[in-house]
This record gives sequence, C-alpha cells and structure tokens, in this order.
Amino acid sequence: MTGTAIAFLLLAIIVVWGGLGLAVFYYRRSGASGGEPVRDREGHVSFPHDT
Amino acid sequence: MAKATKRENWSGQTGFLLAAIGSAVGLGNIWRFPGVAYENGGGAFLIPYLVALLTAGIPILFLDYALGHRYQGSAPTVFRRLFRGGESLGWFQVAISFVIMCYYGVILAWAASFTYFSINEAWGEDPTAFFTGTYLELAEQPGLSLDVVGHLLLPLLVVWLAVLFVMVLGVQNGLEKANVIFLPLLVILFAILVVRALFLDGAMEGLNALFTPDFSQLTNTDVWLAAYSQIFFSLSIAFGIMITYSSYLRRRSDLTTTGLVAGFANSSFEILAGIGVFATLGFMATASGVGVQDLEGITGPILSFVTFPQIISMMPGGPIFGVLFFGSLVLAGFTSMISIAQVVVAALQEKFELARAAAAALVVGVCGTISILLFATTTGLYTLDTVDKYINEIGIITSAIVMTLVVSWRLRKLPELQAHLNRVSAFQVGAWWRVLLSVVVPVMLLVMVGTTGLSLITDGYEGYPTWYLNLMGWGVVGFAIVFAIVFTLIPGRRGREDHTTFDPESLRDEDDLEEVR
Repeated sequence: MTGTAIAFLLLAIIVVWGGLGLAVFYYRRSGASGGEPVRDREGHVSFPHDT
Repeated sequence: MAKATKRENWSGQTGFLLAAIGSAVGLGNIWRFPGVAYENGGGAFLIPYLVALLTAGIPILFLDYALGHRYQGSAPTVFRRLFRGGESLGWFQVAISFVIMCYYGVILAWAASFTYFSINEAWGEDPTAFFTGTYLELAEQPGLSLDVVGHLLLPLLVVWLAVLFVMVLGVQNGLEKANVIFLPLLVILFAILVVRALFLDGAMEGLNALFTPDFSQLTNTDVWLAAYSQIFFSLSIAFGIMITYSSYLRRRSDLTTTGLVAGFANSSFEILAGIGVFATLGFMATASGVGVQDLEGITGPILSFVTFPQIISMMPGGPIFGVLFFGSLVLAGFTSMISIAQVVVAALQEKFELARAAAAALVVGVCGTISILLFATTTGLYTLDTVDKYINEIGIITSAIVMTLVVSWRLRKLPELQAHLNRVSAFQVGAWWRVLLSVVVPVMLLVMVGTTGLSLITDGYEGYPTWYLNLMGWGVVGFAIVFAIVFTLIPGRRGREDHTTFDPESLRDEDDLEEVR
C-alpha cells in the first residue's frame, strides 16, 4: 500500500469509527443506555439533560 | 382533545438502537458502498461522504425520529395527525416499503441459497453461467414471463415464513430479539471475514485501490451526488421505517444521541465492508494477474453472486469464506427486511384495527405471492433491477422532498420538532438543523431526482426497452401513488382523528414513568 492510501485508510477509521465511539460515549453518559445519568452533588442531572 | 394512546414499546433504548442499526445496515452496505467509493474518488470520496452524512443523513434521521416519537404512529397516522391530507404521504411511504419488501425477499432467498451452495462451491467453473443460467434461468430479453423458476420457491418460502414469524411475535419479542441476536452475529461473522480477507495475497493491492485518493473527483458534481445517494439509501430514511420504529419508544427517550450512534454505526460498517470487499477483490486481481482497475462486477448482485463465487473458488478455505460472506448478507438483509415489513404491518394494523398476526399474515401472503409472480420468474432479475432503480431513486427521494418541504415550509413545524428533540435528548440540535432540513437537504434531493429522472427519460436504463421501463419502472412509481390515494380514501375502522383532534403533548411523562428503567 502507498503511504497516501494508508493515511486515508487511517483517516476513515479514525473519523468514522471515532465518531461512533464519541456517539456511544454521549449515549452512555446521557443515561440513555440504562442506569442513571451523571448527577451533581445536589442530585441534579448535570450532563447534559435528564433523559 | 384526544389523548395519545399507548403503543407497543421497545424494552429500552438499546433495543431500539440495535433495531435502528439493524435496519440501516443492509445489503447496500456490503455490495454498494465499496464499489461506489472506489468509482468516485477512492479515499477522496470520504470527504463528500462525511459531508453528506452530517448535512443530510443524520438531520433527516433526526426528523424521522422526531415525527414518529412526537406523533406516535405508523407513517400514515403520523402525517394525518400532522396536517390535513397528510395521510396520503404516509401511505406513499408505506407503498414504497411494500414494493421494496416484495423484491428484498427474493434477494434474501438468493443469499440463503448461495450460503448453502458455498459448502460445495456448487457454481463450478463458471459462476456467471451458474447464477444467470442454472440458478435464475434468466431469459435473454427483459419481459413479463410467468414462467416461475421452481427451485427458487423453497428458499423464498423459508424467508417469508421467517419474516412472518418475527412479525407475529411483535416489537419486543420479534423485532427487538431478532436484532439483538442477529446484529452482533453479523458483526462477528463479517469481522472474521475481513480478518481472513486481509491475509489473502494481494489484499493490500485492493486496499490501495480503494483508499488512494483522486482529489480531482472532488470538483465533479456526480461524485457529490453519489455520496448523498449512498448516505440516503443506506440509512433507511424517508420511507417510514424510522418513523414507525421511533413511535415505539417511550416518552422519555433520547432521540438525537441514539440517532448519532445509529448513523455512525452504519457508516462504520460500510468502512468495514469496504476493507473486506476490496481486500478480497485485490486477491482476485493478483491471482488473475490483472490490476484491480481491470476487474468488472464490483457492485450490486453481480458482485455478490458472480464475482464473490469466482473468488471463493480461487482461494484456500473458500467454502468457509463463502458461508461467512453469504451468511452475512442473509443477516444484514433480514434485519433490514423486518424493519421494512413493520412499516406495512403497523400501517394496516392502525388503519383497520387488525390483530398483529392477521396483519402480518396478510402482508406476508400478498408480498410473498407478488415476489413469486414478478421476481421468481425467468425475467425476475430484469424486473427486480428496474423496480429497485425507480422505487429508490425516484420514489424514496420524492417522498423525502415532499416530507422536508411540507414540514419545514408549509407547516413550519421544524421549531416545534426541534424543541421536542431537545426536550428529550442529551445532544441538542440548533438552528443549523432547521437550515439543513429546509434548504440544503431539499436542494440536494431536487438535484438528485432531477438528474436521475432526466437521465432515465432521455437515456433509459441498462438498455431495457422503453415499454418495459414505462411499465415496471415508472409504472411502479405510479402504483405507489395510486396505492397512497386508495388507502387514504378507504375508510378505516378507527375514528378519523386528525391534526385538529390529536394533541402530541397529551401523553405525559407520568403515563409511562413506571416503565422507565
């Protein structure tokens, strides 16, 4: 493989799979995947909304 | 005002998410994306592809989610509740799903047959002759034959019975469980296939061909249209699937974050498919002593049912590779198929107050019969090819144009839908979402349908006779319109509740609070 092809292969993986990883991170932190969303000391949902 | 009614539910958000991904990841991810990317600039295609994902795919996905979740119904119910006369737009989307369902079952039957054929490489020395001759008994010219190919009936029967089984079991026990089992299995099977493909001689040549960028293509408008088309057809948007699926979400459900995961998961699988398919094509080119650019049949059914059998016959451990590849096609196709079927079943259930089993049996019976009479005959491949082209590139895009224009410009509902998305979701959408849906998306879609429509009118398609394209191509679009009008006019058994009597705010959190996990 040429260096350019390798660079674009890595770019595809980083951007698309990285995007998926980031989306899953948000999905879990929002509480959408089950369990409790993140709360502050007073017990209010702190990130970003109570879902 | 009438109170919104409680409906079947997903067991939780993750069940919905898996079903949404299962619907989006289909045959097009495996047999369309790699070839389209290669032919439209290779690595450089990633740029228009990502732009299309972020500016059209995900915004329309959010719109579908918002409509289904806020107006709680199948597509006809949602659009009837949204505006007077809207039910016909919903039935147009149902008609599109109905048509796609009829031929999708046939492709699944082929894939199931080839999974079995892979075990002893039943196609022999000439996969082309086997697929078009021995297997499909394809006529030399497109036409309307009623000469049914007998050996296609058994796999078709198995496919339709499997669809019926899932449909009868319902949202949680059928759709959700099928996706919970089949989607991870698909990922595992396909990951094994990709790893195997990467160790084949010449695999790197294939990846080189796919990922080497041709930046000159970025100034070619056809490449941008190809990117928008790929995203659009791949995400299962604008023909009722996501509206129906999101209507089964509980009131307090995160829509946008789920949409982001579904959108990026679909694209991630496309990249994985691109790596697997082109690594394999690289092996074929090397083994044949030619360049990847000299290979033919790198997209669509020919890639799957002619080119891949050739490759399987050439490689060590071919039968195992064949079972992995065709098994993946079956799983990817099946999870999409049941989502399409659900659009039709749910619409009939709601309009005529049918029991789920009765609606499922009716839909599967009618679709199964049509699939035999139109697509399991000696002219079935021509018919399938034509119907697929017109219903996707004219039917679905027209549906999306009407939906986005009506919602954004005639009804001016985008602010209300934006507020709905933001009220229930972690990821907040801003004014950018409204701008994309009201300006960018309609413009791109109008250019797409204009370009394709003009090309079909002036140049025809694949050299098929004009009368045939008029009948099976434009005719199927006309059928969808007539279907929409007829089903709108038929009085349903449920009262004619509409946008003046339905209050989307009436179902409160407390109504299903006890169900929130």
